[in-house]
Amino acid sequence: MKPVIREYITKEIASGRRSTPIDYDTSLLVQDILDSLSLVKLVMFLESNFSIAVRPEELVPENFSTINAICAYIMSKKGTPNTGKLS
Amino acid sequence: MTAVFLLHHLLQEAAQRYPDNEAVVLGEERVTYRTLDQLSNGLANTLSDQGLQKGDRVVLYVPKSIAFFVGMYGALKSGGCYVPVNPDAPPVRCGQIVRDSRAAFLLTTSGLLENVRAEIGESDLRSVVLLDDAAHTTQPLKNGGEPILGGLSVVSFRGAPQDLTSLPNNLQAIENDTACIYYTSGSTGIPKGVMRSHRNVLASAEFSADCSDLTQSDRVACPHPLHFAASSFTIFGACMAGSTVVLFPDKIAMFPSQLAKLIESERVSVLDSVPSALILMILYGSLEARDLSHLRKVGFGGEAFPVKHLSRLMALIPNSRFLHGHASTEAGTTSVYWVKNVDPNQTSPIPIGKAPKNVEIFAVDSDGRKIEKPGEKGELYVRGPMIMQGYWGDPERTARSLVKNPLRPDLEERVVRTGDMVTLDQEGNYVYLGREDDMVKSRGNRVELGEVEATMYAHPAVKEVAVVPIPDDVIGNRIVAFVSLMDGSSVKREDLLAHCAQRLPRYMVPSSIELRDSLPKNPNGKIDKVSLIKEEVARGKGTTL
Repeated sequence: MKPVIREYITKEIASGRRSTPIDYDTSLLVQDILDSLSLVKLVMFLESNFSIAVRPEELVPENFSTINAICAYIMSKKGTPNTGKLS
Repeated sequence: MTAVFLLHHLLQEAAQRYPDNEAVVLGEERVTYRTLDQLSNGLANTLSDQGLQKGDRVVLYVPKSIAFFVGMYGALKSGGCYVPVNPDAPPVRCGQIVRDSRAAFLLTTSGLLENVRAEIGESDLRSVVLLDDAAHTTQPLKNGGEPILGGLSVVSFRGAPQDLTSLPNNLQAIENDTACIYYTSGSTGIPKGVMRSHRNVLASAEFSADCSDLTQSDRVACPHPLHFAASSFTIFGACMAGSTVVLFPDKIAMFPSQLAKLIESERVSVLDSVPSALILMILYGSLEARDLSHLRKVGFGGEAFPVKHLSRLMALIPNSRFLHGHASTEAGTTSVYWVKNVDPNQTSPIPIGKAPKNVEIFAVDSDGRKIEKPGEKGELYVRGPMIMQGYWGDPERTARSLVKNPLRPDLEERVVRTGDMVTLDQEGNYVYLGREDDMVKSRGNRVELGEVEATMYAHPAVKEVAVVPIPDDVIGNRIVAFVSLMDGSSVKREDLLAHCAQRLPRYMVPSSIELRDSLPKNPNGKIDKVSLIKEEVARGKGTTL
C-alpha cells in the first residue's frame, strides 16, 4: 500500500517540486506537496484505488499528515472497528 | 481631523483609535494595532538608515504571517513601494520580480533567503532585511549586519527606534505615488507588475469597508494569498474600520472541515473568497455542523459559481448576505451584485451587476457605441480612482490597457479597457460573457495560457505545445498541455511537469500533460486548440468533482 501511495504523491501531486524524496514519514502538509485541491485529488485516488469512501469529517490533518498516517487511516476504514481519527 | 491620504495613515489612525483591537490573527499569533504600528515604525527606521529613497521598490518575500504586515507597512512608512512575491513560488520567480522591479530592498526570512540567495546576485538590491520573529520582538536586541552575497548587506530591524520622529521629511509620499506593485500572469512568459498608487488602494479600501459595512467589531477573513491584489482590498478596508483581519494557516486551509471550524471559532463576520474554495467547503466542510451565525456577508468572484453550489451555500448560511463582485488587479472592483434568490435549476449566469460608489463602468460594442439595451454586447471599460497607474516598465502594454475614454476622446483622462466581454440584462445589470484573449481562470487565479506555453517551450525537448483550458465544475478550468517532442527525444511527462513546477506558481502548472506525435492544425497552419479541447472533453475528462 505505502509504495503505491508514495508513487502517486511523488508523480501526480508533488510533480517534481521537491528535490528530496518523499519518505513514509515525511510531512505532506507543506505547500510544496499538498494544497486544498491536490488533497482532493489524492482523496479521489485513494477512494478508487482502495475502495473506501472518505467522509468529510475524516478529511483532517491527522489522517493525511504522512504516508504512514494515510495507511493507518485506510486500514481502519477497511478492516475492523474504526480506529482512524474523527474530528 | 487628520488627513488620511497615504495607506499607512490608516494604520496610524487605527493605532490611535483602536490601539488594543486585534489587527491581524493567524492561528495562535495575534497582533494589536498599536503593536503593528510600533513594529512597522522600527522597520521604516531601519530602511531609512539603510538608505531607502522615496519610491524605492521593496520586495516582500515572506510567508503568510504577521511579518508580512510589518513589512508592508514598514515599507510604506519609509516612502517605499512594496512588491509582494508568492512565498511558495519557485525562487527563480522571486529573482525575476526583484530584477524586473529593480528593487532596492528585499524583506524576507532566514529560511526563504537560503532558497533565494542564488537568484538575487545580479540585481539592484542594496540590502536584505530579515523579518523573522517580527511579531514577537518586545525588547531591543542589537542590530545585526553582515556583508554577504558580494557586498549586499543582510540586516535585522530589531532594536531600531519605534517612533517615526527621526524619519527624514523628504521620504513623505503623496497620494499619487505608487504604493505597491502586484505581479500578475503575463502572456509572453514574464509576469507583469501592476502599479497602484496610495489613492488607488485607498479607494479600494473605502469600497471594501463601505460595501461590507465594516465596524471595529468585525472579523474579516482574508483567504486570498497576500501576494494577490485582492487581499489588499480586504486588509486596508479592515484597517480603515479598525476590524480584525483573520488569516487562515495553510495547513488548516487545505482541509475544508478545519477551515469551517476556524471560521466558526474565530467568529468570522465577513468572508470574501473564490467559488472554488467555497465549493470545497460546501462539499467537504460539514458546514451543517457549524455555528456560522456570525457570518453576515459572503462575497465571491473571480470565476463562475455554479448555481447548484451557490444555492446550497445560501441555504447553509441563511443569515448572511451574498455578494457577487467583479474585479481585476488592473481596474480594482468594477461591479457588484447582491444575490437574492437563486433557483438551483437556473441556467443563466449570476450577473456581475452594477458599478459600486465612485466607480463608473460602461461597455462599448465593436462599432464604438455604448451598449444600452438588454442583450447588446460589448467590452467593459472602467473609470474611477481605483484603476491602476499602469504596468511597471512596460509603456506599450500600459497603452493597450489604459486608454482614452472612447466615449470622451476629448478628455485626457485614462480608463481601463478590461478585455472582458459583457451584456446587459433586463434590470440593467451587466452579465459577464467571457474574454477576448487567452487569459483564463483556474481556482480564481489568472492564468495566461501563453505564459505556460512559453515556459514549456523553454524545455529543449519540446517541439510544439498547446495549453488549453478544460472546463471544470469546481475550479473553473483545468489547465491541460498537449506536447509533441523533438525527434528522438525520450523525455517523460514527469520531467516536463517538474520543469514547469520549478518555474511556475503551482496553479499554472498543467494538471495533465498529453504527449502526442503531432498536434492537429487549422487550415491556416496554427495549432487547432478547439479540437484538442473537444477531444479532451469527449474523453470524459471535463468533469465535476
